[in-house]
Amino acid sequence: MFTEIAWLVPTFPLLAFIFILLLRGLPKHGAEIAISSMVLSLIVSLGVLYETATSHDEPTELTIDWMQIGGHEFTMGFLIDPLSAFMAALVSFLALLIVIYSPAYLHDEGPRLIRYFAEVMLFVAGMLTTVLADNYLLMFAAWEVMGLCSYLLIGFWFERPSAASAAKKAFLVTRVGDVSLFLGLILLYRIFDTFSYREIFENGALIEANSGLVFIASVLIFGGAVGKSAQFPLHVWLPDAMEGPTTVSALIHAATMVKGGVFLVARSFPLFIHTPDVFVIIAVLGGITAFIAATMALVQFDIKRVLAYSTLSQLGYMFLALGAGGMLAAHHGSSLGYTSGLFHLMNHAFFKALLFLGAGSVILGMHHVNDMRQMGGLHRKMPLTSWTVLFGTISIAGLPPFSGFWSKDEILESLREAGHDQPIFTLLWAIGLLVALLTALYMFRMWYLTFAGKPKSDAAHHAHESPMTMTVPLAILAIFALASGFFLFGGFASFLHFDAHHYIASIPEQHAHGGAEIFTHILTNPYTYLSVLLAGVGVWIATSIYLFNKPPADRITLPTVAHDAHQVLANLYYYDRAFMATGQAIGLGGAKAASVVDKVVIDGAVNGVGKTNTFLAGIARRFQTGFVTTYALVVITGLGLMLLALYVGVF
Amino acid sequence: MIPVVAWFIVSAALFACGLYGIMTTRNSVKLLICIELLINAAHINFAAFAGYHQDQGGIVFVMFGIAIAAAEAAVGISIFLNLYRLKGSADVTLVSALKG
Repeated sequence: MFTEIAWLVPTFPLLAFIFILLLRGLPKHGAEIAISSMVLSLIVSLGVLYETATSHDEPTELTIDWMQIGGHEFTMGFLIDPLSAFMAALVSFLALLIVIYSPAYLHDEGPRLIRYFAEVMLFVAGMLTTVLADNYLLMFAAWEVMGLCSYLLIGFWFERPSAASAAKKAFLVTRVGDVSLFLGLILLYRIFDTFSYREIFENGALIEANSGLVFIASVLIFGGAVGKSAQFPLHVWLPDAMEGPTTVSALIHAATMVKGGVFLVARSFPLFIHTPDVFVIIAVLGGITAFIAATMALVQFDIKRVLAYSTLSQLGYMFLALGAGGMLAAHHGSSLGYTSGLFHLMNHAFFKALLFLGAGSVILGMHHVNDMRQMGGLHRKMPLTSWTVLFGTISIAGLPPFSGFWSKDEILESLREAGHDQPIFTLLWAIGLLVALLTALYMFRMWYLTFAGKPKSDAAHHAHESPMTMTVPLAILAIFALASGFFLFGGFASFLHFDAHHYIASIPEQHAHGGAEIFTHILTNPYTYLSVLLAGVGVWIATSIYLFNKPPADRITLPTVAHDAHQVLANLYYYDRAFMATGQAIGLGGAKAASVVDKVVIDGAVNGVGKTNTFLAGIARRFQTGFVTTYALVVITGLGLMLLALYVGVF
Repeated sequence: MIPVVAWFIVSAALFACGLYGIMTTRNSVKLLICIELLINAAHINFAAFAGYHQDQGGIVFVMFGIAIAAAEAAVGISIFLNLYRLKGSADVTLVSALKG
């Protein structure tokens, strides 16, 4: 029943967008419309999720014709299968919580909130359409809508030049990814003559026949994911995107939009498994991002920046998982990596949204101060926020029994398994372990600097707890941060199972593992305890430095080497500067070249015509002597030539 | 009788002198005289034809031509008199306002 009306899920926020803009002057500036539409979307998407989980039918498609251009038909439609139902429910739920949280956080904005809620609703409509779409073209259109809303929302306080610049940067950098994605889609269309997922994925014969081109298309599509999910080398926009309101950061840059790239890769799994080398690229870039982001998070003092780099790092984990998962699926038909990547997506959505909203609560309590060096002692002043953020911190650090532990462990296991096929995954597994340690370290650093110890400034001294509309969502998310890991035992693996055998018959079929099976497997695996140990080491280092102010051994006293290392990290590996410098060089260089062409070539041509004309005229004017006798000469000469011509026989 | 071509040669020679004079003189009176030369060269041609073909039409034409030449010389002289009055000299190269 819900599946037939699944098209309502993105329609509600779209209608909300229109109504919020039309009905200005509402008492809550659009919050009422936003919240009610999110509730409706959530109800429908949960219904769809339930039906998809309990029925074992084929995925449903709801399609209408869209346009016809020169003999090619394009349709608009929604595909309801476990992946899309899962993502839709997740997005609606988080959007609802964030929209409930927003009015209290942005309480002093007044009528500007109309713009905020309208843009948020448009964004949610875009995100839901992206995950529910049944063809690449609609997905890409909605993808672009999300990029637009991200630009608008980052630049919400557009009077601030830093915000306007950050918005522009975000849009342009993701645009690079979008161009790559579009090229990939065009290539796909050239091969398959359709954009529909089902028609492309089921067409194994055509894929095999064009495997070289399909590989290029796959890499290009992943390029889009690199842009949208801020992986190396297009990661520079996400930290700057923190210029937007914290609720925007929570919704777009932690919980939903940046997951779009992960979703795209997951959705394109049936295409990618035919050319498994793509997965190596995915995993390597994910691993690089995870590592450099974690190292950069260690030296940030702005609470939102720590979380931004943390998001980058966790997204890297998801791509590591999907990369390893693709390898495992292609070679063994195992769905381990696929499922664990999506599992981490869900867990991360919960605890990262929690962390960002908690940071928002702190920022509000501190009267809009982001710098952790001025915080401290907030555990006593803002207990609810402090406890919920602690839950999120423990979860992201990967300590059992919180959700982050289960998903991170699954990811590490899939990397280790894939290492049997391709040695590089073993290296990535080691990097993953190291990043787990770093994650625990910087997250607990963040918590200690913010909440523990003594207040380091007046603002921290006078901080107070946030209103209920903010703390209740925090509490709800904290429960999920603790418990969402247990979905793994409730059938998550069988729900989001990738059946590689369905697409490539030569791959052995593997059934999903049951919950109890997974549980015992994790507990009996020695490597599980290794990752917990490393996380614990990270927590211990953070505690000893930031809680007790006693460095272990003689590290972190900043001798010269460590200071230089600190500088490198604080300057973001100079990558950002290199990026901007390159962009500037290309931009200015292009402008200069165009200017030269304009002056020399175009102006030269135009002026040249004039000069030539003048020159020729200067020669011609010698004939006009003004003397009557000269004219007589000319007349006679002409007459003579005519007679000659007559004599010769021309006429 | 001598061949009629002989008269044509005379006429042509006279015509050529007249042309040369028109093209190269600065003296307005000389210009007028050269124009007369041109006209009379044509008259010689007509007269030759009239004599050799016993056609009196040629002579009639010459009669008309002489009258017209006289009239045109009168007009010409009046123009050049005006020029002398304006410029103080009858040099035709002074009339060069259309130069350039």
